[in-house]
Amino acid sequence: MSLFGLFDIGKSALFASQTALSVTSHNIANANTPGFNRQEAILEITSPVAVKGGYLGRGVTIAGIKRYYDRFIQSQLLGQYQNYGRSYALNQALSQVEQIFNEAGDTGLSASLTDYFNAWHDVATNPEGQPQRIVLIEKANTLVFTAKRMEQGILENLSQTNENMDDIVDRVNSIASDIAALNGKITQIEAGLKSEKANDLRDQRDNLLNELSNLVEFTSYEDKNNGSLTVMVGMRNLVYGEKTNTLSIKVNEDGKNDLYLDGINITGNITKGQLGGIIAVRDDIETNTLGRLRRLIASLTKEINILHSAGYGLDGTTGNNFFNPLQLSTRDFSPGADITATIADISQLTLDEYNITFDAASNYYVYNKQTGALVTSGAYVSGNPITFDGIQVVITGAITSTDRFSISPLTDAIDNFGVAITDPQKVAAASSDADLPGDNSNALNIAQLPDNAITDLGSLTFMDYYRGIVSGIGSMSNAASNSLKFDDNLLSEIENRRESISGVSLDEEAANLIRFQRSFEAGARMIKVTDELLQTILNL
Amino acid sequence: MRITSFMIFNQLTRSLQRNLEEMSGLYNQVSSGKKINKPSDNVIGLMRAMDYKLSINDNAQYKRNIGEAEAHQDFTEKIMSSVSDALIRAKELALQGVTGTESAESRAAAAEEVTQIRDHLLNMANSKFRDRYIFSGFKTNIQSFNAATFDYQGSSGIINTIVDKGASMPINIPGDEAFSYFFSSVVHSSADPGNTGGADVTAKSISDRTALTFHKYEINFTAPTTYDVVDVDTGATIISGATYTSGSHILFDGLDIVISDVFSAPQAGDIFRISVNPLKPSTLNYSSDADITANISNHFDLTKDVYEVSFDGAGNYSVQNVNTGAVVATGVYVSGGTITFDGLDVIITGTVTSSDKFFVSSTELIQLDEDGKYAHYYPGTGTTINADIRDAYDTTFLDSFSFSNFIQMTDILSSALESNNISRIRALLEPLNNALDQVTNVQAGIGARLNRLDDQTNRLDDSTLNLKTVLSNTEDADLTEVFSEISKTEVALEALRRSVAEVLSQSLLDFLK
Repeated sequence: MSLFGLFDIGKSALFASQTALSVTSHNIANANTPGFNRQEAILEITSPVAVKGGYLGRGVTIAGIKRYYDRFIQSQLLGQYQNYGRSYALNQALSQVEQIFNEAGDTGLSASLTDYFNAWHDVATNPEGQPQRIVLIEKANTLVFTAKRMEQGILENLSQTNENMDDIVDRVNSIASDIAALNGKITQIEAGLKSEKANDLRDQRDNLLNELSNLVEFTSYEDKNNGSLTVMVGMRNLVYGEKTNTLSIKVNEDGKNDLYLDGINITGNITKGQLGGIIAVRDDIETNTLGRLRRLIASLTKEINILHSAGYGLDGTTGNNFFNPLQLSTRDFSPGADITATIADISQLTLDEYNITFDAASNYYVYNKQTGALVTSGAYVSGNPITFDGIQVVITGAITSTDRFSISPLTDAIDNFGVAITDPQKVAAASSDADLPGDNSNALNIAQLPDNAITDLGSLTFMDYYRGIVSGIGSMSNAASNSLKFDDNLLSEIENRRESISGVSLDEEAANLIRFQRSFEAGARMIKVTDELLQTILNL
Repeated sequence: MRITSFMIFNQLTRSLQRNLEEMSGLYNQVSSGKKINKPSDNVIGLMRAMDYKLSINDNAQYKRNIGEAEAHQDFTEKIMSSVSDALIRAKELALQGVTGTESAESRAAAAEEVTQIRDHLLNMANSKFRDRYIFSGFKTNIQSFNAATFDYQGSSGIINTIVDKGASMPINIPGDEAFSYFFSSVVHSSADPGNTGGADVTAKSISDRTALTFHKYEINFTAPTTYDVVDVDTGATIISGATYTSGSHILFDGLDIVISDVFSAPQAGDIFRISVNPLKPSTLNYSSDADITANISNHFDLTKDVYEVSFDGAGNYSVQNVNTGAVVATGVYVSGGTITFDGLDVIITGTVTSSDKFFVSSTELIQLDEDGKYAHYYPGTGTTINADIRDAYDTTFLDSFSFSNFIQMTDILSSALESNNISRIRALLEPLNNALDQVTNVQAGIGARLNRLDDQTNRLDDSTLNLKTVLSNTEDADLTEVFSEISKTEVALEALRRSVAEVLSQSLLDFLK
């Protein structure tokens, strides 16, 4: 081995140190970059040469740049991000709806409701009095306003949730195309190599996956041959290789957003991530909160109107509704036939919703949507009235076995809710026109209505039923905020573990900086020494 | 475990965040004074709080109602005590009027005063409270009594107010109740012996005495589940084709009758007879030795008439209806023997002479003076009371009057004093006593209502106090606890901030100079 060989060893030391310094600097530079995995230059002994008497080392070489990365922790992290995303969306929506039902203050529906019935007490004590009647109508208007404001609040929350869905779907699609692009680059770089080399690109892709898992539930797997990642949402491909399918939103017949991927409705398959949370919470809010609030108001309208229209006003009139009468809303899922539904007997109304379906033999079937029970059935004749549970339905036109109608006394219950009485004289405090003006017995009946168990409300009083709604939303919100805290803690735990393995320690990097600086200096010195040795020889 | 600066930083910021969150929650409690600020803070607690608040609100409303009822009762109470004073004075004047030493002039002067009492009673009866005629029943906008005829013009409506959950209380007394009296009567009933069904009258009462007709009624079953009610006196069918269910109330003309399947259901053709009569018949004894007792043998055969039992020298008795003149029974007198006629059983014991006389009636008879004048009181429709004055010895009809209320009664007293009609004044003494009794009853009723209202107020106050205490325990923040919690959190936060400053400023780089 010649003296020049020493140059080579020195040079290899310089290069190795320089590379290691570069890696350290890269680490330091990315100390705060999310998703960055710390890297390390792997030093390796250069293969020695055989000399007389043995083998002589030829210096150091860089075997590769290693990424500190734990696949297991990463997959745990993805799973937990999905849980967290769901809890986050639930908490977000429920904590807002909860504020609408905030009975902790004194401004909720229960205050309006008790004020309204108190006003009836005062009318009962002074059935002749004009002021008490005016106050009653005022209180009724406040009650109407409160109920409408609450429904408005819930509907706004639901439409916000729908808009959120749009934004999230946009972001999911943009992430998907980014991942597809990265797939392309990674396969290009790693082509033919045995191990993963595209460290930074993989970090970027992992980081995108983290964000994606917060948004939507997915599964992913990597092609071992080329490093390309396939992402599946709701069992359909979102990203495969460099291609993507677009996640899209379609509004279904109930007015709700459904998720479509690759032409398939995948809404039911998504339970996690923010999208999963949104899908769960909007149904919950709609059936458990909005539906029950509407039922409460519908029941109130029904019971008050039945009692009120039986009574007599100071002007001797009877049969007056206190609130606007309940109206049935129908939905028509039939191209050929039309439906009209009217309330035939308000006292028989159950406040349940109904579906009408048909079979191939032109028979109709009326199902109670709440109980699922078959209410009535028979042969369909266009224009013949079908009567059940106080409702009269007339369907005209040609029907097919796929046609469907639905009838609801609840949908418009709050929308139509309003005080029908404007003339205080018409407030029916009396039970008979012979006993005017001192008869207060009808006012007494109405004032005692809140003590009665209402059949349509599962034999609860108005207030108990309302308390049920509040406790429902309170419990849901409480559970959501608890699970958000839990998921947040768990997430932070897993992030810590990832950080422990993959994170950059500035102290460590500072030490490495010194270490490789020193080894660079030593390598340089080695070249200088070699140079001096050569000088010595040249000066001979 | 390998620790990186990011981990330390992350840990510290999370701890800071947690502390600040806790702090904000505590400050929220201080600013609102409540430990429940939204439903999810404490669902069960909020449910309880809502329940307590509802009950507190209900109690407050009941108390408002009670306040109104109390004001009503207090006012009525004052009027009734004034009415009582006026009637006592009228009775004094009547007692003076019947004394033989009084002159026609002094009676005329008393008549003047009684007229004023009558007007006072009318004013009292037409009292208004908060612009409502309180004695007019439901017709609170109409004068309770007609100023000319003194007839009642209101309704018999009872105005109720709610004083507790499911409990209501009347606050008014209709004028025909407060300003009139009626004979203590009972509802009699009997099942026709020919009834084939197993049903019977199981309850009977007077639901509205002002609506009574004192007629006789038959409840006729035309089918096992269908009945008619017929007024026997007028022949009119009052209720036609009503549906019978065992134990249901049959209401007509102020009566409340319950027929139930005692053994089995009624059958078509079954008849139940109803009448309203006094408990016991009254008798007048114009004999020196013999005694008389009378009982009701058949309520449905009773009349309101007076019967005279007289004897001839041969030991025969004869019973004559004084009102119609018809002889209803004759026979040989046997001491202790029962004489039966028109639903009455009369038993006379002792020695009788041809100058002895007895008078019997299912209604009321009062002896007026030693001369043999007696008064016969019998009910008309509703609260009307009729009085006939007769002479026992020549059985001539002397005088009659009728009234429905105290105002009309004092009006008659006034005219009797004016016209110096002593037997009429005497005949009015009994109604005056009854009137005073009735006023006392009404006052006692009001007193009982006031007591109940008072008890109820106390109960509501107690309950509200309890509810407020538990409500406060449930939703109010314990400020001492909150503040100590705040200082604890502040200390922790301070310590955390210091350690953040310490830890984050340390780096190996600082030492490599």
